[in-house]
Amino acid sequence: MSSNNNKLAVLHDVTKVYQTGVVKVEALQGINLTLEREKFSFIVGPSGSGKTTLLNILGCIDVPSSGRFTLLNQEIGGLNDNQLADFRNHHIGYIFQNFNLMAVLSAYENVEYPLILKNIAKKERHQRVSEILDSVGLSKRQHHRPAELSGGEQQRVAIARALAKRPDLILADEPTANLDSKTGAEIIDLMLLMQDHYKTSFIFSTHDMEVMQHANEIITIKDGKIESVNTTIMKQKEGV
Amino acid sequence: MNNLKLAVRNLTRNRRRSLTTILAMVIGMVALLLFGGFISSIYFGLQTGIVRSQGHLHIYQQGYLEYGSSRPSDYYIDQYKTVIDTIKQDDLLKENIKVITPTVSLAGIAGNYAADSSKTFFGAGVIPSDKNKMKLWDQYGLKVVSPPMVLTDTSVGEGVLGLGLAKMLNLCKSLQVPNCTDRPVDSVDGEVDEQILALQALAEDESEQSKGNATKNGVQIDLLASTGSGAPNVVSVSIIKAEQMGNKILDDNLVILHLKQAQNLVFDNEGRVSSIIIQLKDSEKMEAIQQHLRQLLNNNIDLQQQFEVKNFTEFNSEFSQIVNMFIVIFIFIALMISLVVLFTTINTLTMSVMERIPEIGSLRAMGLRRSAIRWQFLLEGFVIGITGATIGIIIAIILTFVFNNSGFGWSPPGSVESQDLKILLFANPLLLIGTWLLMIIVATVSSILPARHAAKMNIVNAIRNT
Ligand SMILES: Nc1ncnc2c1ncn2[C@@H]1O[C@H](COP(=O)(O)OP(=O)(O)O)[C@@H](O)[C@H]1O
Ligand SMILES: [Mg+2]
Repeated sequence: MSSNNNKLAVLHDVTKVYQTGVVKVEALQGINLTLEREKFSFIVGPSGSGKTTLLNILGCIDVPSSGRFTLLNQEIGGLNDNQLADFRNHHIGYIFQNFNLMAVLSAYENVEYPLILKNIAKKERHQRVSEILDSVGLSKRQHHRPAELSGGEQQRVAIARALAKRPDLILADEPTANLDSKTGAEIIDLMLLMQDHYKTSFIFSTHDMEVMQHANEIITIKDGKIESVNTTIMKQKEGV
Repeated sequence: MNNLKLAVRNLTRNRRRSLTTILAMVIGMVALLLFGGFISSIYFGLQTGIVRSQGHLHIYQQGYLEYGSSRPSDYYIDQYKTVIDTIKQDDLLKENIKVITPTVSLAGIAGNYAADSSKTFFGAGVIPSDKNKMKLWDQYGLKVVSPPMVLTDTSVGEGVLGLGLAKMLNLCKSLQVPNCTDRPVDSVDGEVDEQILALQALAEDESEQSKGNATKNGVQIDLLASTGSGAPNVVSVSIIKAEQMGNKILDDNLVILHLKQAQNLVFDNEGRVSSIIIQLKDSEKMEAIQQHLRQLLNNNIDLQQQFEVKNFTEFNSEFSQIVNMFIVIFIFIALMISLVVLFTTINTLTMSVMERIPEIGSLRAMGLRRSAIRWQFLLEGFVIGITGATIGIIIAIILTFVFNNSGFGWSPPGSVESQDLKILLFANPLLLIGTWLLMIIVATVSSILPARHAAKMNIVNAIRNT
């Protein structure tokens, strides 16, 4: 039982089929995968390989066409729409490729928003938001709206927003794709730092092989299938 | 950051679009409110006019309204003073009645034999001081002045008639009626109608008799009516003034004289009147008092008659007709404006949903339920509604103030006195509150479809949509 509790996610023969008219796309073709908690995992694969589809399923915003999926010991297939929403609210944070911040809210308010959703009291909200904005280095820009922030700054806000509610899992689907490589690298470093600090599980997808040197775990995906699961890099890193 | 604040901010995101929507709503609101205020003005103006001249309630002998006008002398209230006393002794009535006054209705032929003119007429015998008291009624504070009657309580024998009647009786010159000339009087030659001659004899007879107490003011005319026994009866009335009576029928037919004289002419009995007029302090209580009065009068064994009690909407069908017509127009305009607001707001909110698809997707991914998304957009519709409706009311109030102080004058339908044309925005609180609520409801209803669209969105597609 205790080993079971350590598991973040278990996917068993998960498939996802998109049917658009007569064309049938098998985006995921029988994924078997077990992920541990408190790790920083990379999902790597070329464009169209099924990374987004896999992350959507892991993030409980999409459901598999077949197979079983357990997240944090919860059988996800058995939840209805509201239960799924509540589950996401309590356990999952998202970082998007396009940042997707709320345009009418300031950086501070964007980070605060998920805490309001979780009914956290104002005083504690303030404390948490200030702390996290500080740790992503945006304290000075906290009253600016997204349109007034650079891409890198926006993604920092998004990271802070995902972290603020202290979720069990944060999903980041190609969060550096819209950033230049220097900023992208900074964002990855920041995420690694945050992961280390808050011990949240991170799943990060990318088609860029270079960025994966700091990962605990690398899952390579191609044509909707897992090609390899590599945990050695983590050991290398720990060895350093 | 609560949802309301979020809704307001989202509306300021595309200012021009939100302002256009709100502007459409404001224009609609203002049009509706000003028209409603105008209807209020007609409603209360008309009512005040009717209540001043005819009172709220009329008491007749049972059957009077159906048959009485053909035989006024057969339908009467016997011992009217007893009836009035009974009413005055009732606590509820005593408290609510402003004026209670008897009146006699009559019809017959009016003759100015000196000019060889006669004309059918109808008339009212009244107590002038009571009538003057009625003219002071102003429950709605319209501050219109109805000039008092030229008749006084002591001037028995005097009367007033309508301008048209004065003309027909060849009294233009003697009563100094403006824009009116007497037709030339033919010398009486050839065959004169025997009947007219007979009447003339009767009238002259009567004039001789009443010479002692008749006043010397005015121009004498003779009024002929049939009494209860069927025999013709005649009185002489000194007409001291020709007046405008409000509409052509009254102008051409009405003679107002003293109650006593009318009683003598129709009933030959000073205990009888055709009806009792009651003016209440408060129009709102009219129906309740009407009911109470019916009970009181018809369950009283001392009064050996059965009575009917009618209110002014019953004996004056014009009032309800005019008011209903305006209400129908108002509802029609309200409907049109609601539709315009509905489609404008639907359009605005739909565009707003379309712009925010990725944002909606990420909110859902963060853990917002569908219902929360729905509420967010319903709230935006509501905010548009409450903003537009409130600005609309404020602008309507300002315009009303400006209009009311610029002194337009008019005569409401069926009224003689010209009065300032006022838009009565506050007279009926339902107008302001109702229109305000209507706009808010319409705007909120407009948001139902866009809100549903936003809530039903597939999260994955929404996020992908960038
Ligand atoms: N909503 C969809 N409808 C149809 N096909 C889709 C849809 N989403 C993804 N796909 C297809 O599924 C495959 C995997 O897509 P995706 O998971 O987005 O890959 P990646 O994120 O690795 O680029 C692709 O072939 C893509 O065209
Ligand atoms: Mg992708």
